[in-house]
Amino acid sequence: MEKGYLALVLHAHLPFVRHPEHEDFLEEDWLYEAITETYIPLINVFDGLVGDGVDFRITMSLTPTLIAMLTDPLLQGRYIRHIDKLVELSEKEVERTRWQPEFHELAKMYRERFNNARFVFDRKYGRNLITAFKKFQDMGKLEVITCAATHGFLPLMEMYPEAVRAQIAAAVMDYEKHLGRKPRGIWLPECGYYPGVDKYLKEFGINFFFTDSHGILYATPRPKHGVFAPIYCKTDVAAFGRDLESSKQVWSAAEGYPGDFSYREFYRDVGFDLDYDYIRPYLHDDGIRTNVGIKYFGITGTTKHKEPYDRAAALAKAAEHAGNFMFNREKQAEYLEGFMGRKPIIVSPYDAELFGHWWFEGPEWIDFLLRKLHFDQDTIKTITPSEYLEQNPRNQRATPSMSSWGYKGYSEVWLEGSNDWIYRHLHKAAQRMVEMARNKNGANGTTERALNQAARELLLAQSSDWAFIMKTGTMVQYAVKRTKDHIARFNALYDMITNDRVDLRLLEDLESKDNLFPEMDYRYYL
Amino acid sequence: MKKSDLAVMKVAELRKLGSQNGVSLPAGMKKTDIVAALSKALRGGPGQSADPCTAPENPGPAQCESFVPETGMKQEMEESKFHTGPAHFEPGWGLPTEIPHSYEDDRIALMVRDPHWAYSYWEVTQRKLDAARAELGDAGHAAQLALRLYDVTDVVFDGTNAHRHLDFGIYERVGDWYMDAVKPGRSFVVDLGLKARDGRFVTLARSNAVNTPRDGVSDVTDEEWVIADRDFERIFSLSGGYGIGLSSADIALAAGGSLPFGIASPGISSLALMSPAMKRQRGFWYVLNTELIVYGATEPDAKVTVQGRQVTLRPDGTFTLRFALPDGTQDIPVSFTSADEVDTGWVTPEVTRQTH
Repeated sequence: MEKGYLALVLHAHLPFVRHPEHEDFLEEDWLYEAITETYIPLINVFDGLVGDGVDFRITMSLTPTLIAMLTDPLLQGRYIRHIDKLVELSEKEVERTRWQPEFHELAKMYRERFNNARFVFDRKYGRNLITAFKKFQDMGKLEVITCAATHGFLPLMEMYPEAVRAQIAAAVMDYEKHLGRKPRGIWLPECGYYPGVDKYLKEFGINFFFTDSHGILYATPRPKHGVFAPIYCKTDVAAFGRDLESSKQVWSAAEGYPGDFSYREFYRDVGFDLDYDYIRPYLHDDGIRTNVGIKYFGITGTTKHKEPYDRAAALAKAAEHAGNFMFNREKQAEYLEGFMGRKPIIVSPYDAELFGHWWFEGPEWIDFLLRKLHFDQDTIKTITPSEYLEQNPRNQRATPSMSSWGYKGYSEVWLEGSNDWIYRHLHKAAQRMVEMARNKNGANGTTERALNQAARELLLAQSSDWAFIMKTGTMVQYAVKRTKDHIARFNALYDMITNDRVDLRLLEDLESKDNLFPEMDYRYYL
Repeated sequence: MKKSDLAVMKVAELRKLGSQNGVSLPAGMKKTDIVAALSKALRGGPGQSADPCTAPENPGPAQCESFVPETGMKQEMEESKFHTGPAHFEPGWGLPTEIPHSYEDDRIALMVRDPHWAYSYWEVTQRKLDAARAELGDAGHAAQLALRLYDVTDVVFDGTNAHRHLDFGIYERVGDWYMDAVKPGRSFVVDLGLKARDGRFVTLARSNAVNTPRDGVSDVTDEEWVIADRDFERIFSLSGGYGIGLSSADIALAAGGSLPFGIASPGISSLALMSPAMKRQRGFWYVLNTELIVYGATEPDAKVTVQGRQVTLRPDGTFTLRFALPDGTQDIPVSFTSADEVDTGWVTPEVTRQTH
């Protein structure tokens, strides 16, 4: 009989990046890299587990913007183009490294991976990876939860509740379309919670969400079981808190698994390492060196010196780390169960893109972990939050504290010197959207289309990714441009709608570019 | 930021910089002290405020910043989602679309950043400003723009019944400000106003109300879910409340978690560039590789093998092969065979590389 439960939660998200107006666009790479390095490897792991009869439970959030991109024919076609080039490059690499056995084996590994990715993407799942996740959910192994429509950071939208509600409404509608049922849970963007947001979750039938640890620990009244049991908000929506100990084992810069010297080094990519003329065809049209996706070196140590990546050693290490993680959770569950008088649930959420992209061996670690949990012990079982609530319906009622899992635990990441300027515009647009929805309620024809498109522009402007990128300084120009573009487009539509002068050509242009949520309904803002 | 840069800034600008970076600069600070405080705080880069490792007002386990889990790697990993290489000149898609500087509203908004900081942005029309000055009569022309922050916890605010308020002088008709005068677990509203020298305050706009979150454990306990203080401290600690939690058996990991960062370099030319220099690593970095190009030509329908493997010819009968050349000797037997298999020729270059 198990002593406790482990809820692994993978949050998969990318902002909506789609540029039909450009043949080749650098930032679309974010999606293609994630497909090749994270989503397909995870799907392969799940398929392997199912094939081998391993029982497991895992929770994944798929954000609506990610779903929109994974189901978009233009981007699907561009991914095929992208992976075909990688296959071609990997063939060349196999040839080029013939006299370097340590790299030659790796080149063959990449060739196999890229060919497999193409096969899984195109033939196995018909270019729509969402069908894979749906398949695992329908089997009862994976619970797919939703997330706010464009990953807007809700605490900073609190003063416009209609905008918060619309982010949830659009997400739920979109989820139902792709997954064939209503979502039972949600991943609040960045775990950004404020007391009262659960009202909108309840309205759309969502039963649970997640907060960072202090969201639960600082709840009112104080939570008897810490983060090891959910609490019910006044609305009866359940809040699960992150377990810091299991988090630290993965995230910690000093102690976390991904930093192990045997693992693959993220920053040594052939896009930078190889001769320019040779690698040029695999860069973007502008010829600037970027990550291409083939990396030959291991982390090795703390200095710049890197040794060739030893795949076998890395896999052995991943197995060891999986065993270690499992051992620690067993001990944790045993201790807690004795102390709490109740079976604890240990919630371990991670960004999905950690696995495979940042931590190359991540998906294999998950594979080893789920197999070991199934075959090697009985102390803990993996579980989904829905199952836990079904089995444990009696929980303490308390109001979580406003919180997030961003740096410093509140809103600072998205509200500081580099990005605070956006809120004047986001809030004004939200105010205008509500005003338009009321004044033009009942409109049809092009006015209705314009209203729906204005809603899309507002949602896209609200993506928390832009503020995040501005703060971290990676592709700031792009993030600023996206924010300004969507606000400017929104304002243009606002002018047209309020003056009853909808320019059809502009509307169609925007509809073709910013084309997510085809069923978007401006009435969510009422 | 260098002290010398700060020293030439005006006090108003320094205070704005302080507010943007979460640095507390109480009123009445001398300029030299402000410069010292800012240069110390900004040494770590923008956006970093002082360690909020303070004892909370309420009894209960003390909260320390380490409570928030190791963020260094998490943030770096999240950034890696958007990392495609060093920041570089991004190709022009045309000029960024401009958006209005302000909306000609009379409006102020208040937002919570964390238990100790709030942020406000505002705009007021010239018209409204002029009307307010007129309302103040003679004192109008010297009156200054100000923010008035009210503590309205558990109060239905009618403009006069706040617990207390605090005024800040501001300088812009369209502006923003960070305030650390907020306390955790309380409610606030801010007014934008015009403050006369004689103390009169004319409200130009009033903000929404906000609630700051707690920065510690609640002192409210639930009768039904009661737990002794000592036991709660244990579960709090196990939940990671002190940033440590129940330590399981030691992991034999080397403490090698510091991964190099990507660089932000200026525009990159099309010259071959080595791997991006690691931003925070010290020392002079270099790499040298050698490759060998083997190329030849024969009749388009001939068969060519190199080291036993067949080579695909271009339609014109030429071929090019490229190999990374490590230290050591490579024997490269190349065979050419005519299509009818009657004629065969061999060429076997031997190539040696030795690094001294």
